[in-house]
Amino acid sequence: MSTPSKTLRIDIWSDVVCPWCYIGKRRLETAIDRFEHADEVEVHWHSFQLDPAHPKGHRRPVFETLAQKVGAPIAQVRSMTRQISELAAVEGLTYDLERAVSVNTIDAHRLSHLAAAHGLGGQMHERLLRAHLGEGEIVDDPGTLVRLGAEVGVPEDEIRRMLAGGEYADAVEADFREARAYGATGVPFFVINRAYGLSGAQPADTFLSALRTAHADTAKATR
Amino acid sequence: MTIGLLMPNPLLQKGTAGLPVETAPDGPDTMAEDRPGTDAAPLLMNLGSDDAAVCTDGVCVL
Repeated sequence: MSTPSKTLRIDIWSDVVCPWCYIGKRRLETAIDRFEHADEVEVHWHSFQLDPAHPKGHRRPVFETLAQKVGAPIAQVRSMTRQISELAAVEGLTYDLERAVSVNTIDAHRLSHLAAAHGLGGQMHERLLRAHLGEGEIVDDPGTLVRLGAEVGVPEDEIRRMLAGGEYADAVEADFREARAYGATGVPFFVINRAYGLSGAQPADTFLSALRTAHADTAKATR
Repeated sequence: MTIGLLMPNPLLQKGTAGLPVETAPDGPDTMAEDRPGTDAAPLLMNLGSDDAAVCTDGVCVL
């Protein structure tokens, strides 16, 4: 029996500390589950640091960071993020942003690239999103990254070696440059077959419609 | 659903601290779709709603 060819390539830019990225991921997965050509879809995850200037090693509660960035009291930030958590819950996700800690995400992204080299990029990104958004994990802590990576199957010795050096930093930067070249203004950002773009946590119905459009156009082009 | 072209957004540059911003080139060769400061970029057909929630510049709100 032959394996269906992967005619739909989805490239996704995301940050592991991005609440809309996790919601968008779930909505896209819902759309793919409903898509009649789901077996032709392949997904590639890419790095996008929302705050690359965040000092490495600096850790601060997300609420404090957000309050400073938007110039609003923490109580107001808490109210805004509560609505995000409620929308996450609709998608079956449990957020605990009270415990979330802002960090520089470069090492988490380097870990995702290492995992991708083992065919585990999607699983690693999912684990890091859940760790930061739902479990209060510190996703720049080397011990935490080793543990989370090992959970999804990345060899611990390779993670330690990667964290001790600079591996994949250039890959993270290249991902970022590519997103900018596409005109991305934020994440999540989705590109289908390098021709169709969707920005943000779109509804599952919108993702499904986009998949069908891209698939129909691909079929037309190969006829 | 709206269909249009994703255009470069100056907010992107605002949200990419530390990256140099080039001056727009002068002269008759400068066309509207030129994208100063970035590589020649393919344009994407936008298949999404323009008001979907995104995180930009480290800020994620409704």
